[in-house]
Amino acid sequence: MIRLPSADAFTGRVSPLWRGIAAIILLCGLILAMVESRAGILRSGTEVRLATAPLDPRDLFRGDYVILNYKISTLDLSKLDGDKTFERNQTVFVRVAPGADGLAEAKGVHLARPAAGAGETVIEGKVASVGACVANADGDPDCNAGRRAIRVAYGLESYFVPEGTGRAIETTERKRLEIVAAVSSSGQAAIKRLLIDGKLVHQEPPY
Amino acid sequence: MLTGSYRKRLEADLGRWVGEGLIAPENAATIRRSLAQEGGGFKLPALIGLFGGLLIASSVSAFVAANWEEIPRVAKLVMVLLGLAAALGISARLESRGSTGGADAAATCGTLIFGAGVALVGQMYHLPTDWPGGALLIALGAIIVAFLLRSSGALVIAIVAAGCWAGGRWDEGEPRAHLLFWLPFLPALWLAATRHNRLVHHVAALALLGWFATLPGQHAFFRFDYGLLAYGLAVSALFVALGALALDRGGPGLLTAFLPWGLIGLILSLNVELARILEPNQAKPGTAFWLNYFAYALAVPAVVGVAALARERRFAWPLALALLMSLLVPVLFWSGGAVSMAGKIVVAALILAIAIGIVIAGAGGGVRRLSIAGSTLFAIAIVILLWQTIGTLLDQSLFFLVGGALLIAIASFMRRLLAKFSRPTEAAP
Repeated sequence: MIRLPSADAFTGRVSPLWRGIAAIILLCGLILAMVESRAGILRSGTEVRLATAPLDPRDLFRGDYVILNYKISTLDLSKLDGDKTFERNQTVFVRVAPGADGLAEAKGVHLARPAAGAGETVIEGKVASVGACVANADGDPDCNAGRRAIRVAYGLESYFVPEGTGRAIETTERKRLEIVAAVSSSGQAAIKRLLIDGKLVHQEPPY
Repeated sequence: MLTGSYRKRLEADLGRWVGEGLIAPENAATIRRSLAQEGGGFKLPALIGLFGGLLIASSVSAFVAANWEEIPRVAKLVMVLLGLAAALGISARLESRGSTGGADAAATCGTLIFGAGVALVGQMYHLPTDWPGGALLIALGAIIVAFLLRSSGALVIAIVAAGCWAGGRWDEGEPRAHLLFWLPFLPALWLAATRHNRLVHHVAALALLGWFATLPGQHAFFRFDYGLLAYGLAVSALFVALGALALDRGGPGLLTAFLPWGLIGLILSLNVELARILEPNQAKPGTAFWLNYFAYALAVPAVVGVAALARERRFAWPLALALLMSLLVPVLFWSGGAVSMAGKIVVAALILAIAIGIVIAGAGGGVRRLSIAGSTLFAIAIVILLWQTIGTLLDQSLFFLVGGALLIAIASFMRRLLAKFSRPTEAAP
């Protein structure tokens, strides 16, 4: 039988103290790197105002959260510039610009990163589904109007709240809720503020 | 390998042998001393410590999930990082003091706190529920702890997390999930192979089985074809062959853990194949797809290897024959032969013969789980055949009569057969 070189014989040459320190540095480093990657977006990203509506469940390890369904989550391809055929799980770049009410509206959806026009921001997302029902003026899905829309996830869909407080956001009417997201130059987005009726309810500091 | 049940049996045997005057009491004492030096078995303080560590890690996890507003997020993050550092520091300290079990428990606790830390960061920045991504990060941290602090608990977490990650990505339809799985799994497999921990071995064997199970892709499960069953049968035969060979050659321990899972797969797939002959529609030949050839290309050499390389022939030969017959069953279906009455009888007889072959191998090699697996296969097969008859009840009666007479004939020759196989010159390597 072939004898594999034993990992434990290899690590046995270094004292447990140094190995312990190395493990602590590596594991804490992994968590801090994860923190910094998100904090960087919040510190220096461009702000975009997004209209949204709440839904709700619970994550076993992270507690209560509200699922947010954005106006720009459903994209009617017939009304947008850019590419027309997409597949599930594809990375897409969505060009958004503030509408008359200041809230972001999608202008185009592209498979390759487009150049942002004046006043526009490019957000990176992933195609969650294709052939979705288009949204009506209120933002509700309307399958009678056609199934030519795609659904895009931007990594902004979960909002974690203290235990038991999810209801307050959940029962808020669709038109009163607003999210301000920070978007980095690479297109990564992070939730920065939650507003109800234009008033600040939750502020997300970088740390 | 010293498992707890072996120790118990040996202790009982030692007492009996001393009582019967087979060995002297001082020899028994020498054997006991030698066993104590080899270690193994479980150590109670380490086990209780492990349970304590698991509870503490669960407490941290629930604390994170509560998302308590009174404490600022940075303070929570610092608390988790300090908890992580403390657990890993205690592990290193316990190891330098010689308490390997305690060190393992503390390192496992530290790994779970790391998992809670990943969840906390996800909560702090409202990261969307991408649980496979989180599982990969936890697998990475767990492998680091398993390697640096020699923790078997962390290794189990690493293998499970890597499996969850690859499984999750597979479910999302990521085409490269199968190749990517090996990235964290290969180092974990190396660590598992060089450890003497049965739980680690079994978890690694199951993760590998899971990899084989997801290889056909989701569409294969939606559009079910019996080629899939043949693939499962071949993979099971491969696992049984590898496990049996390792058991016969005295290692590696990781491979011996393949045996029970392979046997379970073998019993399940053979019985489904048997049930197929009862329905004329199901007995029609399915299609062999590329994975069937792949699995057979792995299984056939492994089975031949068992017959050629095993030290104990009276164990290896009946087993290899039974496995080859198992691999023949799907071929019979593909040839279209199973639709006719004669083909159905051959399939039924083949599966009963496989069961008997496994029982003989188990008895010959003194491997109880093989005997149990063979008997289980035999019993379920009989029930399936009685449940719905292939031809008329009279045909069925004749089939059982011939089978029964054949078995009784084998049994009466068995003593001579076993005596011939167990000659000492043949048992030598």
